[in-house]
Amino acid sequence: MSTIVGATKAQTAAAQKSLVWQITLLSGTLGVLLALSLQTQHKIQSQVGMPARWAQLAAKYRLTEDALKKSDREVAKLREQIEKLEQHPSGSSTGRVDAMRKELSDMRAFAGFVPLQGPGIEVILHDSPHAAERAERYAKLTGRPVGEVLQSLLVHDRDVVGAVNELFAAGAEAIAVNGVRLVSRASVRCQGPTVFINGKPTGGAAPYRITAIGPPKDLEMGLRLTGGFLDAENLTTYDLVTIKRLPSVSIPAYTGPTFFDYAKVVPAAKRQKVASTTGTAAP
Amino acid sequence: MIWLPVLAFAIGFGAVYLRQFTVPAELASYLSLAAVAGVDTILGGIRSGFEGKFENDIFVSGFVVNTLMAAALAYFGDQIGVQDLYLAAVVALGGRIFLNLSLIRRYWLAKARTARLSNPEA
Repeated sequence: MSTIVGATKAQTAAAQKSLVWQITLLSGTLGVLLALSLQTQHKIQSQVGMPARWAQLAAKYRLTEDALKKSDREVAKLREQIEKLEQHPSGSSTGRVDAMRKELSDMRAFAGFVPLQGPGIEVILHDSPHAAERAERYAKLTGRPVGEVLQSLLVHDRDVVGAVNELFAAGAEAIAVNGVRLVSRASVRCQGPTVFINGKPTGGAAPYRITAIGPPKDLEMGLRLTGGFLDAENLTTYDLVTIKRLPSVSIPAYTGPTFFDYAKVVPAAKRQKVASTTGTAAP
Repeated sequence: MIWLPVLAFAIGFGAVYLRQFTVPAELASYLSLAAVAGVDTILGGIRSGFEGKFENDIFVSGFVVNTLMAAALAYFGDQIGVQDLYLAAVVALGGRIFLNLSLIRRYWLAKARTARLSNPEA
């Protein structure tokens, strides 16, 4: 405390000296701490290939993904349980209840809540083999730019949509893309190389595997129809598609949400009115 | 006199940096925070030296306790799920570092000015 009035010069000098020594000592320690911290951060970055914050984010993302998968499994399990409970009711059942149960189970199958099995086909959409070389050759032949030709040699989401549409038109009763069931609210879209079905990513890049239950011959014919989607878009010409008839195809159940946020069911009393208004408008 | 701490810092830094010592990745953020607390204490010591309020025991114990407490606070935050407690420590320490730096600059300028006034030929 050299500021105390009356402190001698010697005291001040001694305090000054001890200050310098202590700062020296602690500066050395600080240097050690900083170097250690710096080296550790370097190591983390070189190991993970990204700053520590990103690595933490990546870990969080993975955790969330795992949790999502877990709840998906739980939903599937619970739905199975519901189905079992409906099939084995505790009380006695009359003919009417049986009929209702039968209708419910049919509705479930139609809506896509149960896995289905039956004859059908498997359609694999893949990029054209040797696409790059082919694109150059075709570009020379036709005089079109290489990039444009190359695009038509690669599979896109619209090809998946087109093939699915043709299959439904040819009488397919149930369709799955990459093992994800297509239901009435299904959507197919591309985000980079990944195809999203019902807003969920399914596998990585092409090939995409479409499975359909229905008359195998009709389905294949419908796909290969001259002037049909595959023909018009040159998917068959450029070898982008492989079709295989199968005696038995398994289509998984739909696992997405089953509620409506906006749509409300029209009450039975009003339904007649709706039907008649559309009826009078038709002619 | 000023070269002594600088030299010590260089030696300590160089010795560890060149040998490439590291700590486990889980402890990295606590270590960084401890280093920041260390910077704060050193600057605080320099400032108190300028003010003439320097006290041995307060300085050394301050360095040890501040570094440990800063790391412990961040660890505690992680344990109870308040990771942002780390930010609280960074903000508090950062604020003090800047305050100390500005005060040191003022004292140093004032000292230079009085030295010039008392020695007009310079």
